[in-house]
Amino acid sequence: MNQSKKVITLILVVTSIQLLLSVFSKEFIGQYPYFKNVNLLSDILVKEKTKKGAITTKGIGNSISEDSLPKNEFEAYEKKDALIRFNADTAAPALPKLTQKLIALSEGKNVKIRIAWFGDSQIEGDFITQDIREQLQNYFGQQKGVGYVPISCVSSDFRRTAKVFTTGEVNVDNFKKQEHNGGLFLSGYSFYSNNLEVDFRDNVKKSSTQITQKWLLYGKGDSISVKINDSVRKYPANSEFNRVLVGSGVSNKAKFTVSAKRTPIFGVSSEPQSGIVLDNYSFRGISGVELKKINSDLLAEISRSGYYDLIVFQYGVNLMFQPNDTNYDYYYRGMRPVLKKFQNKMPNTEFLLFSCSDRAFNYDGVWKTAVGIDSLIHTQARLAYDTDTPFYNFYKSIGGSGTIVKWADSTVQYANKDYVHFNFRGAKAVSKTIFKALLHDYQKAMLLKKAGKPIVVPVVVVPKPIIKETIQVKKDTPKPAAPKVEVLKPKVVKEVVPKEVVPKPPVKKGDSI
Amino acid sequence: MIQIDWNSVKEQLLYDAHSPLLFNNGFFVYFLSAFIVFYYLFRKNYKHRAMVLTLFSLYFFYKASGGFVLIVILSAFFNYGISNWIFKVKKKGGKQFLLFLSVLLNLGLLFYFKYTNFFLEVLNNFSTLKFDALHILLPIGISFFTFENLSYTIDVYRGEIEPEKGVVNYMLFLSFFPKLVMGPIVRAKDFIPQLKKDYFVSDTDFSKGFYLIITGLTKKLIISDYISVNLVNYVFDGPHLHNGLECLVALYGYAIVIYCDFSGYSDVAIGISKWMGITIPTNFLSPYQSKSVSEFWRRWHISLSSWLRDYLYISMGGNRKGTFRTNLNLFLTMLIGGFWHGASWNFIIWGAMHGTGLMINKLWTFLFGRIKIFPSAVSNFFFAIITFHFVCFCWIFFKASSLDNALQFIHQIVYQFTFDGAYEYVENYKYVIILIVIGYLIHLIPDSFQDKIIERQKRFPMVYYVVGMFVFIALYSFFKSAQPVMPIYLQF
Repeated sequence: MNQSKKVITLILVVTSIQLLLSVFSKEFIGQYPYFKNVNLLSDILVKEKTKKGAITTKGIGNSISEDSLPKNEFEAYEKKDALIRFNADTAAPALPKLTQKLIALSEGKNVKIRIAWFGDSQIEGDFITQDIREQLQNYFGQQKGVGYVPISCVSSDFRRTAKVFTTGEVNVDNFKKQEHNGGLFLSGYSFYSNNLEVDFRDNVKKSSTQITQKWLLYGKGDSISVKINDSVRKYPANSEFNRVLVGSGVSNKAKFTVSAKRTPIFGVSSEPQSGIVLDNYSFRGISGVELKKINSDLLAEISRSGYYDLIVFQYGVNLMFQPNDTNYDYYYRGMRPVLKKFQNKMPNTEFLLFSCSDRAFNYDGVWKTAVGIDSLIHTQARLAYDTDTPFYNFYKSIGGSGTIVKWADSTVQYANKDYVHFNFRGAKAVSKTIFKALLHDYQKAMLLKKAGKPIVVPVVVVPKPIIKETIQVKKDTPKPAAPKVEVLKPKVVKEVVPKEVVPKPPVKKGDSI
Repeated sequence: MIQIDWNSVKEQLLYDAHSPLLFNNGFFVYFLSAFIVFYYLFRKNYKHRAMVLTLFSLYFFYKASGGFVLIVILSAFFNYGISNWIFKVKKKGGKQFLLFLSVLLNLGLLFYFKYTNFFLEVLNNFSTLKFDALHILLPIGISFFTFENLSYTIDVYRGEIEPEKGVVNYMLFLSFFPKLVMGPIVRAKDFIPQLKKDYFVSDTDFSKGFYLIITGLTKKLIISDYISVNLVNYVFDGPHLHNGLECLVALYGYAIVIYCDFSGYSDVAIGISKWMGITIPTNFLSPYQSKSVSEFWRRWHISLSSWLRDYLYISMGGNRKGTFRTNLNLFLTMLIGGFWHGASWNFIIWGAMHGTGLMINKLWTFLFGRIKIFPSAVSNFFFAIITFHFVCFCWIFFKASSLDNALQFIHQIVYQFTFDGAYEYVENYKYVIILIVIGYLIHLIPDSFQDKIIERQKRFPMVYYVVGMFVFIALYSFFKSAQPVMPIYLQF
C-alpha cells in the first residue's frame, strides 16, 4: 500500500504542533526552558532590546581616546593597546624604570634586563612568551637566549625553544602538592636528585659568535655538587636563591651532573651577557593566587640582587570555569595579598598585571564570550588600581568580545576548540599585539627624553629598599655561589666566579601570607 | 501576542554565510514542509515532480552555499552535453578525447577550489618562488558532485548507460538535496530511473525512513556533536595540554564522532529519500566490526569505496596486471582517496596508511589465510581489535590539523600516558564517556534487530511516529543546552 500520504501527514502534523508550541512557548518555557533551542519562531520574531549587565557598564565610559585624559582614571582600564598606570600622567610610561633601561640598551650601553612572565597554560610550552622574547631581543640588541627553563614540567616535550634531557631519579615538588619538601621556585616547581645528569639545549637562534651563559639555579639546602666534564665542585646552598655557572661560550648546550638531595634545584637559565632575558613561568590551571606559596624570603633574596626588572602576571581564563559566573570578588580577596607580597618583597621590580584574554562558552548551542568576562576584567583592574600596579587590557587589545570564537572557528584557526587557548598562530598574533603595547610604552619614555623631560618614577611605599639601582651599572647578579670544596681541576669559567665569601643569607622569616 | 519581524523573514529566505542550511536548522523544517506539499501534489506527474525537486534542491544548495549554486547548474549543463556527445561520437579516439575533456574540466574545477592553496604552499616550500595564498571558498558538496559527474560520463563512455535525455533529470541527479552536502555518492544509473516512477512509499519504506531519520539525527546531532564539543575538538587542537590517557580516550571518542557524524548524515539522507520514494544504497555497515582493513572499506563510506574501486582502481588496471601492479593500484587508489578528503599532507598520509594496510592485509591473507589456530570467534575478535586500532591510529592523521599536531598527539599517548588523575577524569567526562560507550554499542546491534524494529513499527499508528519525533526534538533541545564539559587540564 502506498504510504506517501502518511509521509506528508507526519511532516505537516509535527511541523504544525511545533509551530503551535512555538507561538505559545511563553506559557510553558518556564517548565521546559530548553524549548528555546527548537523554537521555530525564534529567528523571525521582533526581539526585545537587550539590556547590558549592571556590572559591565556601571561607571565605565565608552571608548576613551588615549589623550582625552591628563591622568589615567580608573576607567582607563578599558583602553586597548596600552599599558596603564592609574593616576599617572597619560604621556608618561607605565613602566618608567624598565623603559629607561630599554633606552640605555638601545643606546648600546651594557645593560641586562630581566623579565619574569607568570601565566597559566596559555603560555605553556613558551607559547606567546617565545614570540615576545624574540621580538624584544630582535628590537633591542640582537642578544639572544631562552632564559629560565625548568628541569621538567608537563609541557617540556612540547616546548620548542629549549630542551632538557635528564638521566637519573628526580623528585619533583610543585604547587599542586599538599606538602612541600622545601622552597618552591617562581615556576612553581623544585627538583631534588642524588645524581642527575642534565643535558640542556637552548634552541633560540642566535649568531654563532654570541656568548651565552648557562646558569644552574638552586635554592636553600645543605649544598650541591656539580660535575662538569670531569671536574666536580661543591657549592654552598645558604641562600634562598643561588646560581652557579655551568657553561659559558658560543655553544647553546650545557652538560653537567648535579647532586642535590636536600637542596632544591630550580632549573637552568641560558642568557646573553647583556640584553634582554625573558623567563617563562607557566603553571597549568592556576589563577595566580597559588603564587602565595612562594617563600617571601626567596622573593627578597631575588630582589636583593636586582634580578628582575619586570614581573608580568598573565592570568584569568582559569577563573571562568563556570559559564554563568559573574562575581569574582573572591579572586580580588585572594590575589591582592599576592600582589602586595611581591611588591613588598621586590621593591625594585616593576609589575604589570594583564587582564584575562577572551574565553567562550556554549550558551544554548552557540559559542559566545563568557558572560562574566567584563566583571572579571573589572575585578582585575580594581586589583591593579588598588595596588598601584600597571594594567594591560589584554582582552580588549586582541579584539574583545567574540575574538576567541572567531579565532577557533575560522578556516585558518588561531585558537583551539576549547575556546581558551591560542594555537601557535594565535600565540604569534597576540605576542605582536603585546609587543606593540610594550613598545608604545618605551616610545613614551623616548618622547619624554627627547623633550628633555624627566621620566618620573613613581614612589612606591615599601618597607626598606635594599638596593638603589642605576641603569648605568650592570646589576644582574645574585652572586654566583663560590665553590666550597675543589675535588678535581675546575674548568668553570673563572672570571665570572667571584672570590669573595658568599654573603650571609637573610634571617628566615615565616611566610607572611 | 507574537510579532513577526518581516525583515528577519526576508533574511531567513536568503543565504547566510554564518548559518548555512543543514538538516538541524529551524529553516529546514519549513523547507521540508513546503517541499513535501508540492512533491505530493505532483505525485502522478513525474516531470513536474522532478521540476519541483530540482528547484527545491537548487534552493537548498543556494541556502547552503550561496552563489556557488551556479557551479552546479553550469556543471550539470556541461556534463549533460558532453555525455550526450560522447554517446553520439562513434570513433573511439573521439570518445576518448571527449572523456578526457570531461575529466580535465571536472577535476580542474575541483582542483581549483580545493587544492590551489595546497599546491601553492608546496611550491613555496620546495622552490624559491613565493606565492600568496588565494582566498578561495570551497563550494559545499563539490567533492561529491564532481565524482558523480565523473562516474556518469565514464559510464556513458564505457557504454554501460545511455545518457539522460532530460537536462532537468540530470541536474536533479547532481543537486538532489538530501545527499548534497555529505553524500552518499549516487550513480545516475541507479538514481534517475527511480524519478520516472510514480511517487510510491511502501510500508517498509515509511518505517525504515522514520527509523533512519531519527537514529541518524540522534547519531549526528546528539552523540557526535556532544562528544566533539566536549572532548575531541579541544584535545586534538592542543594535545600537549592533555596526558596520554586523555588523548587515547579522545581518540576512541573521535572514532565514534566521525562514524556518527558521517553515517548519521547518510542515514538521514537515505531516510528522507525513502520518504520520497527514492532508494539510495546503504553507506555504512557497522564498520568497526570489521575484521580486516579490506572489510573495513566494504563497510565504511561504501558509496566512496565502491566509486574508487569502479572508476579509479579498475581504470588503473585493478588486479588484472600482476601482483605488483595490483598492490600499487591499491596503494594509489587509497592515496588519491585520502587526498580527496582534504587538501593537506595529513589526508595523503592517512590514505597512504590505509593503502599500506590493504596491501599487508592481502599479503597476510595470502600467507596465513588458510591457517586456523584459534576458534573463529577468538580469531575474529582478535582481528577486529587489531583492525579497529589500526583504523583509530590512522584517524589521528585524519583529524589532526597538521602533521606536527598528529605527531604530538601520538607522543602524548606513548610518552605521557598515566593513570594519575584517572578518577577525576572519569568524573569530569562521565557523560561524554557514556555517549562514547553508547556509540560503540550501536555497532554491536545486529542488523536483524534493526529489521525487526522496522517491521514492527509498520503496524503502529501515526501517533507513535508523532510522539517519536517529539521525543527526539526534546532530547535534541536538551543536549543543545547541556552544560559544557570543562577540559580536564583546568583541574590539573
